[in-house]
Amino acid sequence: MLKICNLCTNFFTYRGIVKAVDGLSLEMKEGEVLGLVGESGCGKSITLLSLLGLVPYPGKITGGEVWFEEENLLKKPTKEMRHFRGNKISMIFQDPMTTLNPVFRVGEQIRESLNVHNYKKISKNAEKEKVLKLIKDVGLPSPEQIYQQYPHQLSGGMQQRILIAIALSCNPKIILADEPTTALDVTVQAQILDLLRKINNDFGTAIIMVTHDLGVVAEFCQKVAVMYAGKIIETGSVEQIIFNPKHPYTQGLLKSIPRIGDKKTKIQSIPGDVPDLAALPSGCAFYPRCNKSMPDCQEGEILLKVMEKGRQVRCLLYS
Amino acid sequence: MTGLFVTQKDLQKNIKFNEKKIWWKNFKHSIRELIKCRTAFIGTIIVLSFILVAVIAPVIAPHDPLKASIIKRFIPPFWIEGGSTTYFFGTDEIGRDIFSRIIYGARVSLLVGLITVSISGVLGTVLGSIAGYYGGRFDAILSRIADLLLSFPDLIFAIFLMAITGPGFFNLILILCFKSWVNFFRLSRGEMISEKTKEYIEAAQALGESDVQIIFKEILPNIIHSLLVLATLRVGYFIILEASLSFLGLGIQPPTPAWGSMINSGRAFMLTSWWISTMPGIALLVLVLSINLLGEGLRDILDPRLKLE
Repeated sequence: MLKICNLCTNFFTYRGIVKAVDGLSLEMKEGEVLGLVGESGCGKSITLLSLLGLVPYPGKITGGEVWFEEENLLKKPTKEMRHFRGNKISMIFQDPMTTLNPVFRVGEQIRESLNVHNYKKISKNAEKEKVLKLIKDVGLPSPEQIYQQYPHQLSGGMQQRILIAIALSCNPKIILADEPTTALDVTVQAQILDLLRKINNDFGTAIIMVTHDLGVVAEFCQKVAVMYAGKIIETGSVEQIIFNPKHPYTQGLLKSIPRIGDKKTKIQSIPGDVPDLAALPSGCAFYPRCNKSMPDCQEGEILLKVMEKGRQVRCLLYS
Repeated sequence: MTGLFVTQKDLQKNIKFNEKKIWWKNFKHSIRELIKCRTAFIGTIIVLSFILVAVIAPVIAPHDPLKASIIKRFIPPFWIEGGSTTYFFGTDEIGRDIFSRIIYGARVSLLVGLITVSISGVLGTVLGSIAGYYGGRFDAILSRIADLLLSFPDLIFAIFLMAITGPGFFNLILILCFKSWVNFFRLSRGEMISEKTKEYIEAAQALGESDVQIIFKEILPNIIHSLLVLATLRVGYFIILEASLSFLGLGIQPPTPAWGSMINSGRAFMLTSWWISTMPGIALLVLVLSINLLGEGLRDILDPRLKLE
């Protein structure tokens, strides 16, 4: 359903061209849940914004194709692109407290999202009923009351549910979730994940979940793509990635998670920092931090290598 | 709502009821807030009564403001010897009733203030919002024009332009608007720039809203409170500016009663018949003062940051 081919998004800054997303390819089937994992600043969020054509200045999509239902989204003019945003592809943001407009009642904001893409006009009452149903769908009690409330009167978890209701309002094919649980505490996190899973089951909505929390990925996703410095370095099913990571970076990520009950092993961190995207080393971007680096790693472009079924790794160890 | 089966009709009824109730509650809350802030309340009362007086001027004015009489010149106000309650504030140098002229003069003052603020407020806000949201060359050019206009003193600039175009009601409003949109432009531009980086704008974009919708439906309601305060304070400022121009003979032309020209006409008789200048002066003072009180009060009520104390 969604196919991203060789997507490139560059930021043209004073310090030079920053390759935030560099030749990213992905494929998603209907109803699939994909996790996009990586450190801060590796281009996860920009990938999502690129899909919607909302890359902030000074960024620009410089190449590639995004195929959605046989149409190339990147070739669409802004006006047509608006029909896709929020309608067929909708987005959930990280911080629900700032994502809702503070001066409007919650109900009006959900209604607004219906209005934006309202091709066949429905009556005000029908609209209101639909909004109430949406509020109920995302598991909030007493919808009539919440309809009348302002965002600041709701808790963070409730606000995130409202955002999910807004995202759901036009029955989208894909929901792009940009770290939807990061700003919430752990119990609420679990509830929100349950809600998203329910939506995935009930409505068959595909979800791309951007996160740096591997726990969330393990619990929630079917497929995982690990990103590093704007590139996908490993993809595969959740089981493959979690139990049998191939790329040294993925292995490092998994080793840096504390495990309950394990008192002896020290948590290992990956040495060094995320590389400067404006001045990437040639060859493998992870080379300076890698514990299995070889001299060849520095030379030339390293390609994604297909391992098993649906499994790809970008590392010379497996070529 | 406690029953097991809730029909859609029940649901709707309940919503409608709630909506009405909440609206009424909010309205009552605002009124209470206004009364609590005493200065704002006094300001509101006085401004409202001035507006009322201006609207029903023909009904309450005891005399024709334009009717002159040679016999009844220089009658003092009623509390001074020789005065009578027929001519409440006395008469001027050609025997016109000052009280009636002040009532009719309130019409001119308020009309000039309100019209100028509406035109320049809408113009400045629209331009400022667009410039602030998009930035770029449009913003740069408009901002330089705004800086240029701001560098002239208001009164001298107005005198200069009035001298070119000639006096008159519409010329006056045109010229006041010519420069005054700048204040609204700068305020709305600044607010727009700080507001557009917030996340809910990104969310609105991701929802597929157009730029026009985002500017006027999402951001404007968030910045309207400071614009409202500025608009209120500006009304008082324009009333003074109009009075200054009328005083200099460049604004509203006699015999139309305007406070500025009334003050000017009594200037020569200041030592003998002081009331001719003083009465319209006091009216001007009270009106502008209460408008400012209202503006300050509005700012206290609308700006939650000031409420923290």
